[in-house]
Amino acid sequence: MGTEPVHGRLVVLLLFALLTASPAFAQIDLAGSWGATNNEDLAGDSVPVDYTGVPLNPEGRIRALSYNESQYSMIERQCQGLPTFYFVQGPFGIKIWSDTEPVKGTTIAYTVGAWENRAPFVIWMDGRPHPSKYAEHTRGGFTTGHWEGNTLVAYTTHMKAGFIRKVGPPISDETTMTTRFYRHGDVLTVLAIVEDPIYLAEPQIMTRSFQLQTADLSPVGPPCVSAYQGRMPGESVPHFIPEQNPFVDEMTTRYGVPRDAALGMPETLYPEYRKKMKPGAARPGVCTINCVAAPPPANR
Amino acid sequence: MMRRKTRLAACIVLAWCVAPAAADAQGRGGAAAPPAAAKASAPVDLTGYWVAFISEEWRYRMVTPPKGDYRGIPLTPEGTRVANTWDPAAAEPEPCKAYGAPAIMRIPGRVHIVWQDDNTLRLDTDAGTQTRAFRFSSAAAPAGPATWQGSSTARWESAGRGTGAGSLTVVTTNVRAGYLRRNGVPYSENATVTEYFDVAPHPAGGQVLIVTTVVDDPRYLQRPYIVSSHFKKEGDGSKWEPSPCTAAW
Amino acid sequence: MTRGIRHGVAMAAGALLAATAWSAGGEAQSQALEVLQVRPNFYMIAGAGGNVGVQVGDDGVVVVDSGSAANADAVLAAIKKITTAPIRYVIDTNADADHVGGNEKLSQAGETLFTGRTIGLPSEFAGTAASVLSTENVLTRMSAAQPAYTAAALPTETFFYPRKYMFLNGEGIEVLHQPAAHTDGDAIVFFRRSDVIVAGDVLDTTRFPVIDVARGGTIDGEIAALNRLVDIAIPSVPIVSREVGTSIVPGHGRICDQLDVVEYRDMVTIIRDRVRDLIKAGRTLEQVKATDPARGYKARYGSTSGPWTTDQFVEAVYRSLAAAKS
Repeated sequence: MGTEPVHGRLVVLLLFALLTASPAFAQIDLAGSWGATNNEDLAGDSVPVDYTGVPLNPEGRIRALSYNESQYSMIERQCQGLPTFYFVQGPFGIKIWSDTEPVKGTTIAYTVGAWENRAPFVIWMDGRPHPSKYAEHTRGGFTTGHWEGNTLVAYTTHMKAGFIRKVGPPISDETTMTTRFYRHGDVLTVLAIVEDPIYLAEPQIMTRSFQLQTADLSPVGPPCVSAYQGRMPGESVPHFIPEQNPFVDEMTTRYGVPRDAALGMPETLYPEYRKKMKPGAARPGVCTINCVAAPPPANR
Repeated sequence: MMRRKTRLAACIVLAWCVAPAAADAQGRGGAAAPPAAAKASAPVDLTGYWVAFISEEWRYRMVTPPKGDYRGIPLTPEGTRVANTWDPAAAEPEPCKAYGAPAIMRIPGRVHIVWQDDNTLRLDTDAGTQTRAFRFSSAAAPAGPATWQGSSTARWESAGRGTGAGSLTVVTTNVRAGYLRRNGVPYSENATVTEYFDVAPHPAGGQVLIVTTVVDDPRYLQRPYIVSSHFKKEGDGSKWEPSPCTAAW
Repeated sequence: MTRGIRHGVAMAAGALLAATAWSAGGEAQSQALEVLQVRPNFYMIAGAGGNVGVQVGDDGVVVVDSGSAANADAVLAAIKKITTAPIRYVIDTNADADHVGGNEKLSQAGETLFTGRTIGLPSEFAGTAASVLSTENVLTRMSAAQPAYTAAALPTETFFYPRKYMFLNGEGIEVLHQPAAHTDGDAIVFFRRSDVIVAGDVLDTTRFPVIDVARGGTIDGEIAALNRLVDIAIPSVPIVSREVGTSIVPGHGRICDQLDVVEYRDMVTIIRDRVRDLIKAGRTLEQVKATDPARGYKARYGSTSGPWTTDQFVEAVYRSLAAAKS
């Protein structure tokens, strides 16, 4: 009789261990330096009005057309940085590491390291809730994650307003993002689905693949220092009257892309749009600008 | 009586811990069970109609880019030389050159995936009316002339029993030389294509199919060419519209 | 099952629930309000009408804006949960009812810094209630309001010059008059060591800024006020990835940083520019409205109904520009 409470406690401890232990087959290792392959999505920011592949709604299109890239000369905007999902768009690799709870050994968070103009992307794995709707929005947003089999799934809120493409298509501060990390050997494919009820007609789907490399990537970016570039703070805000954007035909002239597609009309993202395109019309002869990318830098 | 109940509870707990290992042991040292057919052991369901969502590289996929626009493709000098021989003004004698296995998943169109048999997954494209057969077999692919879609072997990557998660890996060889990009960027008959098929839920309902394509071609590529394409699942085939290969765009 | 096992399983289940829940630091609930900790000594109370700023310390509590009258009890209760120290000051950023409605309740519950020193002290400092500070125009507007405010709700300290300041709870506090912005009586309050600015309705992340032309508001003054916020606030440079910097509490909506204010200011400036260009081209108000100068921003900030619509905003911009031109 004196030993029964001990046995009962033992069973309870076993139950507790089972309930709180992570499934041994659920996770894979994402940590490491993942180099950019830079085989795709390099052309999206070379022409001012290139919204191809971005399913903008009418409000988003007008915002995009009113954008003038001279805003980067504003002292207040020089260090604004890029939204967190830019790591599936930009030319750099990513470094991923995990932070571990020192007693239990469980993962508290994964971090996708920063670049020079992109904040670190921290994925909290400890079940903490997202902040209040009144909380500050940050460049990196607030992200929680969980495993679905061998796929890390992350959900991001509290991002700042910014751009889904650097040339102007906007995202609002109501944007949310779901990111999935798929690892296949030394290839990491990241899927980002961005939802913005303000400016997107439907969720935007982006993917980027990276390759594991032995060269260590920097997890931080260089500092940003603003400087006078011809415009004093508060002096003016460069912008276009949307109907008067002078670059609206450049994609058509340069690459034969129909205007609807250049403006990110949602129907242009689907194969049936080709029925509306004139076959071979205005196909340019020879590439004259941004034709061949340089190999990626050695340490990216 | 209380001691028996405690022992019983401990046994139940221990049995729960041991059962998966015991089941695995059957495949190692115990009596060998026949391998499950690929269809029966599929960790994910890839069947159905999927439409390409051209949110990336629009001007390389929906239209033919200008000659010399090889941005992002790590061509060897030989590959660049061959690409530079392309004549945009000339009629394309073989319109299906841009529809080969290394590039077919980048073509704007729909794909239809079905089980051809218990160990072969079949993928049809409406654009170019191409058919790909993914054989789940450890045996070497049958020899034969090179074709646009080559010979593909497949395997599942499962995340583990009960997770309902996994992906498809397909390796394709024996392809006819063709175009990685419509403006004459080549791949050779020595190209090997490794593809990973993953699925994810779409926030508006349905699913997204992500296909990561890795093209190795020592003749024309300095290093692997890796791209990822995405598709949205459709409820049915009502928009399925087969069309022949074309160089029109 | 023995009592010991039942107890043990219950504890295990409780521990599991606790492990998966998360209590974000500094958050407390008071009825329908939400309290967010901005700094170790600074809080924002949201949902009280306008946002309320609360600075705490050894000197007592400095409150910026008091919310609406209907929420005054809840605001007071929320402050009491943060600290039992007495409210010393209520600073009003403007005269709107959703910012001054709790003046009486909060000041009466507080205690002026100047108790027990009535000999030689100007009469307006005597008494036990917390001081209520605002620009002179806020007092003027509140005094003329209908229905009338009680005497206890009115500001007890006013100023008409650009800057009023004090040093409480270990930091300098600047109350900066922003003329002719949202109204003619706006102030923004800068807590220098906390590095928090309470902006009042100069900044409103939920809608286009309310430009109360009838009470002296102008679009150019609003932009100037936003520019001042941008000038005072410091972003997270040169280490951008640290995500630190000045926090700005808007009159309504979420906590902001300098870049958020820049985004808002640019939106207001662009719309102003569009309207100004149309006025230069000789367009009437109806013609300007027909051009839809707020397009591109209406989905985020606009409204077709409620107390402040897109139409009203465009009209306010037009009228204040037209008045400036004439």
